[in-house]
Amino acid sequence: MGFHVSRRGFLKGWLLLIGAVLAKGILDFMTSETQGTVPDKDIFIDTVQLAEGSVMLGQKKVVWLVRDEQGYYALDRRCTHLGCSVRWQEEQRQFICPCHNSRYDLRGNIISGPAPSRLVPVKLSRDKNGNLIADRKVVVDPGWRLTITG
Amino acid sequence: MGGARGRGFRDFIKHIHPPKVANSTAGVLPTLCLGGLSFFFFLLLLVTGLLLMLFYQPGSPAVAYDSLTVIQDVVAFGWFVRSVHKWAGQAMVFTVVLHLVRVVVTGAYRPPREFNWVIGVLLLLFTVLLDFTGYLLIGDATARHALKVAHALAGEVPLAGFALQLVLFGGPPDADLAGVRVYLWHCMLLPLLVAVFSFWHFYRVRKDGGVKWPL
Ligand code: HEM
Ligand code: FES
Repeated sequence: MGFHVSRRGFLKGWLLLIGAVLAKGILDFMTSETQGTVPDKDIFIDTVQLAEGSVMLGQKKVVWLVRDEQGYYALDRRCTHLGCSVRWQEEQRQFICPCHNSRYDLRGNIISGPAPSRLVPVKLSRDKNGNLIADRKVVVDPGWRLTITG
Repeated sequence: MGGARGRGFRDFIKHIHPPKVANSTAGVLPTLCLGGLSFFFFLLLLVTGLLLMLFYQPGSPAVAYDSLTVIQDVVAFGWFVRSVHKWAGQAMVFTVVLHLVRVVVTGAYRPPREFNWVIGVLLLLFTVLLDFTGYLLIGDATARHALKVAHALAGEVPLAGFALQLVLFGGPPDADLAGVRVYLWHCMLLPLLVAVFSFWHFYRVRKDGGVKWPL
């Protein structure tokens, strides 16, 4: 006879596995670092890999970074209706708000929905490590771009 | 040890966990286990609710709303814990109501169980209040308006209206204290009431002769 597992052992194994997964999830939840408020700054790493016409969510998940033909720009993730976090929907190529279905295009302009105004473009800069930093406290012109040369 | 207190405790355990259960009621069909399901959802809400409390910031609606955004988008599995809490909350109201319907349909509210019926109705009341206060905690425009409506309704109660407003909301509906007070009701007082009344409810089930079929 080869390898034998009793019914009890089998159940115990599953219970242990489920318990371990749950414990890991709860531990990750409890040790999340949040600064206690929605952060103002967001950070983007490895942005050179971002293709033209694509988007990237910041590590703090509060700002969308977009790259187009002219360069990079950052959009505050908060929907201008009631502040839910908009998601990027690749099939439709739109930012869609999960709360009341406001829709914005790649530039952040309103396509439809209860939102009263466009997504807010915010300041983007490059730190000494080459990472991009967005600051939601500083609003910029919609046509503003960060260009990276060399 | 022992004495009256020790005996009371042993008596309680024996009723909660009796050595014998009638065969006719050991299956799931007579009751659909709706009461047990309700309590299961309550335990799930207790665990997920405690986790949410780690990051939820009561008080000003704007701050509360922002802290929920953080839970949703920054905290690991926060979106999941929040969803489970929300849906278990809806499910609990649903199963408690169905449990009540089952008790009516099978006539289980009749003597000697009439007292447990009263406890059950109170449990339904607490459950609905928990669901409603949870919805007030979100701090969006809907929640702010709902809080105002609830505050005004409480004020309509004859004689005790103003006192009730003070106890439930701590004062005017748009003050930050109202948010803190609703938080206290949702996360402390009401769960405590549900816990105490649930155990009393389960104890009475046995005390009144257990689940009997046909009723
Ligand atoms: C037993 C202990 C409980 C604790 C400690 C607790 C704690 C919390 C906290 C901190 C929140 C705010 C987070 C959020 O809105 O997602 C919340 C929300 C909520 N709670 Fe509870 N809760 C408990 C039980 C219940 C029960 C029994 C119900 C329903 C019967 C309930 C229904 C809700 C609802 C509907 C929300 C709003 C969910 C949402 O849409 O975000 N809770 N609870
Ligand atoms: S919050 Fe985005 S549509 Fe309402």
